[in-house]
Amino acid sequence: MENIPVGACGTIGKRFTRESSRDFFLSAAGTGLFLVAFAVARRAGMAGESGLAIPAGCAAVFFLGLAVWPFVRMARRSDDWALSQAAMLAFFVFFSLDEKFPKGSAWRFATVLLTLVPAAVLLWSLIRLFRRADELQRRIVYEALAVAFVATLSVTVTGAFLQSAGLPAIGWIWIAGLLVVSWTVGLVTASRRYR
Amino acid sequence: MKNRLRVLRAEREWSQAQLAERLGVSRQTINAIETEKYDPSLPLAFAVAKVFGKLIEEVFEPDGARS
Repeated sequence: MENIPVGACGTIGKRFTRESSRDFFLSAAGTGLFLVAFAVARRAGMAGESGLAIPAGCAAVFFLGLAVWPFVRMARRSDDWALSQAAMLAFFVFFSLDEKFPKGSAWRFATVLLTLVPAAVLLWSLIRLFRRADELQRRIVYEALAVAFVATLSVTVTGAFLQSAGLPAIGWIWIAGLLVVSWTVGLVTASRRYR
Repeated sequence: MKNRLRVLRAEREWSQAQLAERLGVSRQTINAIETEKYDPSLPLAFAVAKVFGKLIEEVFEPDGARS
């Protein structure tokens, strides 16, 4: 059994085999090209240039397929760590898309809902990763989750009180960021204790 | 909890990774047990003893045990 990379600070690179790296970068390249084609199609569509919008739209679909195919390969290989990293990247890319459309438009809702797909893949890959973990690795993850829970709870409750006292409101997205950061800090500290 | 894991492993010339593979755990877990930073669960302790062909009390010794 290999180390859980997230539970062992410094072993992240070791889990990325050559095959993992190739799939990850292929997915990232596909996503990048999809973004470019998508932006071209959107601008052409808004300007009423169907001659450019249709081929750019087709290219966007093709590149989306190129970005998704490595996910299938990684899932088949049970390469869950690489899969989770690629899913996280895809999540942030799709998340950044929603501001390209005006508020209230159907496209904006569609792109926001699209972020649920990589989020589901991320969840699935992490669950598979943790189910394969041994008892010490599970303890490390458990300790890190406890740290993240308490840290996020304390900061959000304090933030809520400060807000009611007159501090300007901050976006909900920062809570997710805080959760990820505190979880990572918890993983690193718990992992170091058992090194 | 004290243990003789390092000695028993050295006698058989196994690396931590080889022992980890035999037990189906990570190398990090073997290292944490050897350095006595982590006490294994009872099933894992029995598995360790079985791998070395010993009784569990021949591998692990609780802190403050009489010799």
